[in-house]
This record gives sequence, C-alpha cells and structure tokens, in this order.
Amino acid sequence: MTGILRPQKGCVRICGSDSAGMKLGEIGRRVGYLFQNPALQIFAPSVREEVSFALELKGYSSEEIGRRVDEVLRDLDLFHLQDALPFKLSRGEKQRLAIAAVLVNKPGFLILDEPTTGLDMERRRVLSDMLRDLKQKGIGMAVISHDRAFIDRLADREVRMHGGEIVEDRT
Amino acid sequence: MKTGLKGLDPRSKLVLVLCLSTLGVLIQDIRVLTAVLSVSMVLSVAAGSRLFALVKKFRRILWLFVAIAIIQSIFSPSGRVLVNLGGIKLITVGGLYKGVAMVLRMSIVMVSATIMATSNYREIVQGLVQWRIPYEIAFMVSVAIRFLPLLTDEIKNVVTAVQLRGIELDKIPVRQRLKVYSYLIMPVVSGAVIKSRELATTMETRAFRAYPKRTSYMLLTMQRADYAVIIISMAVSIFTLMFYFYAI
Repeated sequence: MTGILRPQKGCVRICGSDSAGMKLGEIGRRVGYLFQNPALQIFAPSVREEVSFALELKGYSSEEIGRRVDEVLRDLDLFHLQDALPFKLSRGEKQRLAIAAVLVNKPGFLILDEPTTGLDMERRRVLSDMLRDLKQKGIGMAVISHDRAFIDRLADREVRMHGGEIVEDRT
Repeated sequence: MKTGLKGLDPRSKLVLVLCLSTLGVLIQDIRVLTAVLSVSMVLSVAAGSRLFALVKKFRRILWLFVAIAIIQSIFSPSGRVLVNLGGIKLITVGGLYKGVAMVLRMSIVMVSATIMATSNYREIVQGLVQWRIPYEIAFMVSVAIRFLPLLTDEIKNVVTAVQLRGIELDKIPVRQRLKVYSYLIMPVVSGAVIKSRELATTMETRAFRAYPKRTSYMLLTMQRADYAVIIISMAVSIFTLMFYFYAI
C-alpha cells in the first residue's frame, strides 16, 4: 500500500492514481506510514531533529517547524527527551517518536503497522484519542494491529485476517 | 550434491580468490587485467555465484566506477591531452589508461570475492579453523560476512523511511541531498554496535570460549579436485606474473 513492495497483481490507487507509477517520496507526501519496527525508521541524531527533519527539507519556516514539533512532542510525551539520542530510547519511546515523526507531516492518510506495540495502557489511550481526533478532521487511516480493544475503539470497518486470508469483514 | 567448482572446499576457493586478486593488484596492463577479469567472471559463474544478478542490483553505483576512472585520470595526467579545460589537462590518454586499470582492478577483486560467497559462512569458518587459524579470528571473519547484508538492509530502510516522509530525493537540491545521505551513517553505525553487543551477550550465554579447545561436528576434507585447483591457480598466477614482469 505504501509502494515499498509493488503489487504482483491488481493495483493500489492513491487519490485516484495507480501507485505503481508513483515514487516513494510522492506516496510519502500523501500517506504517513508507521513501520512495524519503529527502529527501522529512526535515523536522526536527536529526537527533535528526527521530528523536524522532513519539515525542514520541505521548506517550512522555522516558527512553523518549532510550533508543530513542540505540539507533537508534547502530545506524545516526548518533549523532555527532545535532545536525547533516539537510538538510546526504550522500545515504547521509539514507537512514540516514530508516530510523532509521521504525524508532524499532517498526512492525508495514515497507515499504522502495530502502533500500540511497546505502549502502556495510558499511552495507548492517548494515541487512541489522537487518532480519533484525526479521524474527525477527515484523516483516513488503515491500522494493522493485534490489539482488538484498540481497534474496536477506532474502527469503522474491521477486516480480520488469518493465514493470509480474509476471514471477517465487518463495518 | 555439489559438483564442479560449486562443490570445492572453501579453502581451495580462497586460494583461487587470492590468486585472482593478487594478479589484479600487481598487474598494470589493461589487456592482461581484462583477461584476468574475464577469467574471474567465468569462474564466478561456474562456481554458481549470482554474478549477473549482483551486477544488476548494484547498477546504480556503476556511475561511481566511471567517476573513479575520470578522477584517477585527472590526478595522474600523462600522454596526449584529450580534454583541456582552461589550460588544465583534465583528461589525458595516460591518465584515462590508469583510471580504466584502477576500475578493472576493483572489479577483479569484487568479482573474485563472489566466488567465496558460494560457500556458506559456516564452511568458510571451518576451512579457516582447519588451516589452524584461531577460531576467534575465523569467527570474526564469518560474523563480518554475515553482517554485511544486514548493513545493506539498514541503509535501504533509512532511504525508504526518508522517502516515506514525503521527501523526493531526486527533486531536492544537492546540498540537502548530501545532508540526507549523512543520516545513513548514524543508524548503520549504531545498529552495528547494538547488534554486536547483543551477539556478544548471546555468545557469552552459550559459553563461547569456555574451553580452550573446540571440536567440530563438520569436518572438511580436501579432494583431488581441490588440490588440482590450488596447484593450477598458483602455477598459472606465478607463470602470469613472471611472464608479465620479465617478458613484457
């Protein structure tokens, strides 16, 4: 769906265009993707830079970058870690950082692969509330998760898979 | 069952690779280097390596080879000038000759190394151990071989992660692109350090080096074909070098 792997048959349409002809960067501008393993998408030398990196390259003003980064770091309880080395964070902190780096770009659609892994109950609730807010603002999302309770709180449509097959599809 | 070059003992493959690499490093003549590269390619394919798949995979860095040839040519000018820029001899026949020789040399080392990749890393370690190389060093070699693809994956992940944040790498200015590429270093180095720490802990828990002498379930036995390959490759290499240095 994000273009990392190309479909062997059929096609994935993003805003009406076949994703097969789109570059990853082009897809990334429209879709925010959270990797299953957050460590794979973290690369900057500080938490703040990890979140601000894409905005800087996209040419946003420093005030706008500062405002958006502060907001998302506070929402995800990472503000006190803004100067920390991302590679030294705990699994849960890395997960929150990866989510922050995705959300700061304000994508039109989100694909979140196991977003609750490593998060405690309170932070799951915070993330759930944030995603619900985004949903109300019209941001679409596909969430891949084993956390049924988390999905039940958010989903309009649930597709259950087993052994690579769809076994349930309900709205 | 593996037959032909595929079934060779890793030690004979190692000798073969060392001979090809030595020829590549010592010889300067482009014609001889081309011949050595051709032989290396034939032997690599015969040994069952995925040489052409690898070339296809790394085609994006082929421009680097062209750049190396040109840079080498700029810094060692000699002979007829082909490109002159404001009185500076940018590309000369002699310089280009050296550049091409350098690229051929690198290709020989890389292509011959693919022959080693046709043995699994456990066999290579065992071969080195049976050559009386200390197990710790042999194990380090095997870990280095095993970790290389992981480092490549790490780089790919970062490039993918950067692009998925909406950055089109081919559309941003060179200065910013360089900054993006500088980000590759951090996760690769930290990933390597973290993985090596985890590996060290795992090895300790499995009592690595608990006893001074290790026995091995797998024992490699040299066959006649192995001795033949070792003798022929050494003889051909010595003959080629003697012919090259004394007859040409």
